Amino acid sequence: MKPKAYFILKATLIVLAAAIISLFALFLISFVSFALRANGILVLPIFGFRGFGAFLTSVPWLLIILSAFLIFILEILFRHFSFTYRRPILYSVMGVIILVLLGSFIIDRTSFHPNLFDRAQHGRLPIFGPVYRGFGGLQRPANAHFGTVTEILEQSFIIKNRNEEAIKVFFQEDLTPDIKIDDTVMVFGEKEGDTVIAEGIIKVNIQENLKPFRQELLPPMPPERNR
Amino acid sequence: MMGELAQERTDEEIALQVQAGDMENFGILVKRYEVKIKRYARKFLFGYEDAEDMVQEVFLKAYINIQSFNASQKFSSWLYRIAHNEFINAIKKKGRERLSLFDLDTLFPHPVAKESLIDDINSRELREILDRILGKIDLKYREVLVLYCFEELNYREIAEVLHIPIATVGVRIKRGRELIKSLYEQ
Repeated sequence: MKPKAYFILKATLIVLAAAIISLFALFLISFVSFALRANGILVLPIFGFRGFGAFLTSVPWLLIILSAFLIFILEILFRHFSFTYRRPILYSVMGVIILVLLGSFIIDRTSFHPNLFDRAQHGRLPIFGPVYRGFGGLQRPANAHFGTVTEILEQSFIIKNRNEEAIKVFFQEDLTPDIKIDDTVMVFGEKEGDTVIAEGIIKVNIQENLKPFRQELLPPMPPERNR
Repeated sequence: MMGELAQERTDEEIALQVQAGDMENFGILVKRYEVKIKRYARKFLFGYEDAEDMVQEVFLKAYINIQSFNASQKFSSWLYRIAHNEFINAIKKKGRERLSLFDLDTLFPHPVAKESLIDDINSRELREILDRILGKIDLKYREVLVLYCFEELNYREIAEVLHIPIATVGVRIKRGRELIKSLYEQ
């Protein structure tokens, strides 16, 4: 006869495994959300068909597939418990997905990922450092250019990116952007030399918890002028 | 006197005593369920020569794992669950019947059918028909029909044994009943 402790240990291990996988799934999905927002990937579809194409090629599919796999494992672990197997799989899977997405959304609204990103940039984050430097860092979508507006001309304007590189942005009349000097913008369009023919321009509103991240992407913010 | 006392005690009370170290009481549980589990094996493993031999294995597994039994649940459901797992493993080993890894019935929600709607399937006549055509019925319907018609478990108990939603039990019994009718009419 197997002792009671054996079954208690088995149940504890299942709960522990579910807890660890849940936390890892929360971390991963909130990281994907952070990387999509911080790199400007989420706004790409508004630039039309080409923007949507760039969105599809910029999304970190590997991390998304890994997240889906973790949710699948969680579902299998939860199937050991009556609160799950008594219900249709659709309900329990939806429950797991909603809980994980909700948790990830909350984490993404905090400064958790920007802080870790900051540590990774300074080489103070073991294990996950390369992940942050890779996906969360400078892997910006193709044809998307971030910068601060330094000069506005007739049918063009000039932005300066984090490498202090000046890029001249040409735009069609119908794209005439509502921008001013020192605005942070994201320009979508093919770059040739130091010029970009804009297919889309949007002003970037840096959310509070993305500020540390943006400092790595953009030139330092100009000092606030006395009004 | 001892026999009378044993009759008064519930399965769960006896199982608790076994868990506390009174191994002899396990014999009472075996006596109570031997016939039922043998019948379940014969019907579920229809056409398998060693079906009854597996019953011994079921009680052995139950004894080894008795500490995992939660006395707030029904002992019968727990024991039938062990039997179900044992029989499914035997079917897998023999490879004579196809076992689907995934079943759409457990994926989507279904309205829970009232048990009274299928009372007719529980009648002696239908039980006899079922007995004759068991071998022709798909495994997933056979197991619920056997548990419902022969072992007289209710939907909730069957759901506990098979680890599936109660509504799925209702759907399978309903479809199984239709299958019996069509097979009988042939």
